[in-house]
Amino acid sequence: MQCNQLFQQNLLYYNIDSQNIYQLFEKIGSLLIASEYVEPTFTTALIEREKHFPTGLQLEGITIAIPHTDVEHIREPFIAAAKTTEPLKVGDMGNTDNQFDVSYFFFLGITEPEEQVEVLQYLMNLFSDKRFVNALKAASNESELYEAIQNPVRSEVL
Amino acid sequence: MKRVIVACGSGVATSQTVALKVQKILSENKVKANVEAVDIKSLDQYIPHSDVYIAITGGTKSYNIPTLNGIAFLTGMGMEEETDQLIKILK
Repeated sequence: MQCNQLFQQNLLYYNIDSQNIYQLFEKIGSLLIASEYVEPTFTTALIEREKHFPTGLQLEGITIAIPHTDVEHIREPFIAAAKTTEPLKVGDMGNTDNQFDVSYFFFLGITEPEEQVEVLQYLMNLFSDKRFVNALKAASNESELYEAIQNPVRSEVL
Repeated sequence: MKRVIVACGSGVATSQTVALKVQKILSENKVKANVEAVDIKSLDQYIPHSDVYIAITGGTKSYNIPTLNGIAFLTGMGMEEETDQLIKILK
């Protein structure tokens, strides 16, 4: 499975306005439900999961969040990416007392735990590439975001 | 053989990813151990039979087996220190 193909240009959302992550999740959730990547139960599950087990991650040079649900809410595998206009508060995955300011959200649509462990590995590899992180931060619209994702990803990464 | 367990919030991808990574690191270092991703809801059942717990979510509960920072293995930040500790415990 080609992990970079999980990213599709229509699942990249640039400059989303939200007051907080729950609003963001509602917006992205509705879009994913409408395009039938997920079940109607997705948004509630996403919000609940984040409340109990936040997904904020401190990586080198960037903080991101990787919200995801259990497999039963996902219809088709995907990675949806959203960049918000303002950083939002997200809980630290490793420390529930801590919060990060996050502008880059990667929603993971995982249907098969074993096969798609690669997805997380792929993402972590991607983010360890400084060129990618810089291109991501420099992207000013969905096309540039898409380019940044697909470009470092030619065979070498996996 | 020693047993290492990894748990995250929903048992879907994160704990499996870390478990695989840890397995790889251990075999590279020629250290033998069973590494398993477990559901955090069943954690209490696994702890008594395990030697190391690699935690991904930051719960406040502490366990009487060595607990390491799983996020370090996921993101690579601070991974070397956790790896050194893990190898020390397992050898």
